[in-house]
Amino acid sequence: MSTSAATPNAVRSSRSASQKRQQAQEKRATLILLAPALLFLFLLSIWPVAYLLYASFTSYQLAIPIPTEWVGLGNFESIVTNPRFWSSLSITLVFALIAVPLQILVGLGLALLLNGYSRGREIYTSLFLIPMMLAPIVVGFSWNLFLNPIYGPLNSVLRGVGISPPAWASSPEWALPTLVLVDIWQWTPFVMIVLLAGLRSIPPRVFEAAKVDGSNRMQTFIHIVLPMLVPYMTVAFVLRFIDSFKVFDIIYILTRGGPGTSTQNLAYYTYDLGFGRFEFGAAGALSIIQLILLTFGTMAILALVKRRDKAPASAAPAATPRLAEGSAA
Amino acid sequence: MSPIPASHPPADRASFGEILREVLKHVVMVALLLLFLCPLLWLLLTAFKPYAELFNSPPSVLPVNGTLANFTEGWTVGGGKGIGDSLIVASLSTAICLVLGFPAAYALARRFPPHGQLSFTILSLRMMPPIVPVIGFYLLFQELSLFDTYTGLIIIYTFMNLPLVIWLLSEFIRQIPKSYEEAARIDGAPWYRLFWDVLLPLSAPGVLTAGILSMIFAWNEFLFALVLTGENVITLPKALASFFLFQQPNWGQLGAIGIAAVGPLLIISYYMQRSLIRSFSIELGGR
Repeated sequence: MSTSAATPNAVRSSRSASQKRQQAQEKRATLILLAPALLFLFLLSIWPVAYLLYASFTSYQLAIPIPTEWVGLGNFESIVTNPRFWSSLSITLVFALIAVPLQILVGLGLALLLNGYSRGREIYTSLFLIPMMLAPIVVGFSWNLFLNPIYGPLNSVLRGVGISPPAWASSPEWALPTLVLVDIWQWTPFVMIVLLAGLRSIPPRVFEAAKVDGSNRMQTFIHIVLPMLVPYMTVAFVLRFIDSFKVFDIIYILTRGGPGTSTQNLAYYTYDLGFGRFEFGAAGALSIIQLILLTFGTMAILALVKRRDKAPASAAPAATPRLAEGSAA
Repeated sequence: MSPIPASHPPADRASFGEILREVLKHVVMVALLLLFLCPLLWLLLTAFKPYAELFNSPPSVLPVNGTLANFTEGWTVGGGKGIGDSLIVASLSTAICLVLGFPAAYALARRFPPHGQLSFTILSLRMMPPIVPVIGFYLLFQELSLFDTYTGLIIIYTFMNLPLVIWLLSEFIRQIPKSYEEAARIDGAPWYRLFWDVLLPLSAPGVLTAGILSMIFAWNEFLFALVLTGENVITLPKALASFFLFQQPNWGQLGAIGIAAVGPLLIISYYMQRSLIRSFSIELGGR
């Protein structure tokens, strides 16, 4: 800034000019910093979707040398009228709606249990986290071995105590529950760690106050702990619900969608259409349908969560100062 | 089992009953953990069993004639190639993620409101199940001759992990006080110096967390590898899966490769637990 300018007016105008210059510079810097990553993400999300759209409106079939024809909405029609689509959609939803609440329940139990340990809590927590660090493929074949009807340990133990074990992944009734069991085993630790973070965030003076007011443990849990955990449970639920649409690896290893189509969820059905039978047109249409379903599903869930967050009794007092700081930047 | 954080007053005179309760508590926990980790422990034990013991019915818990042969054989029948390829793809994609992601995260953290439209759009890419774009990627890769190449898979894993890396890093950078940057700016440092000399060292723990997570996700990924590669690139999950499906599985070798594949991750997990809890607290506290 120039110091030779004597009048206050001149100082002010030169200051604002340099401020403007600085602002322009900052804007350019922001663009330079953001552009590579955004360009990369943009190209890689637009490009495959363009191919998907192309495939889904044509009779594209890999490995069959017939000329590709424009079929309009034909692929979409054949998907929506196919009972296999509806059965795979309902299997996906049933899977999510059974597995996720059970994960929340078991995860809550584990988090409460671990929170009661002052000594050794960290080491126990990290041991419980092991399943979610594993590759789902490894999880799949560990369970395949564990549940093996002849040389697996679980069936031997069950027979030992006089229970005749089910055929697990190879029986039509038990295949889906088996996959649910494996998913619960792998992902309950995730819910547990989220809820543990929630429990740790409750200040001890809250409990002291409750105690002074004569509330017993059960009352404290129901009226204080549970309400304060609700935002954490919501986050865990939403993340797990969205993730349960991705389940593929353990199906590939444990059941391959079978027996019959009893464990064929949307992901496996799409894979089977595309790379089992090379019907890329139909598989592309199914992918687009999933994309639309998921976009609306996610938007609906987030809108619900947001509305709840706006409630005055929000358990996140830190929100206001941080938002203010952010928008001032 | 109380939800109330156990407050421990300095125990001047712990009674015998209290000590017994404490010991019992830990016995219960260890038993529960053993039960919970049973399937994995069984795999670990199987990795040391010779072929002849694999198919005993009822199975023996401990290997009778323990052997390390499964590990050496597993390495030569595909485990070595799998580990090598996974290392290449996971580490290179992670490096690219960090190089692309850090500047973007900084821009997001300092110039946009938290949980704004842009951060949300970036993060929502992560919610998409991989099965949705995979057919598009397959067709694209055929067109660009990227099918079954390291480059192709590295691009895909970068795409898969970049949103998470940007989000984690920007949350981390938000926690760094702005006064550091302001001080540097007053000293006349240009923006790129500020970036390299001030912010990068301060956010090293965040970079480490994001990098490790990105490594783990790339290391464990299966569907993209299954569809987008063939005989040339065989990552570890793909090697394990093919091993499993096309022959009578040799569980000993499978177990050995599987244990070798997850071992390094488990060592990291102790460190990860703290930073994971921290990043969840950051995220949830900001809502």
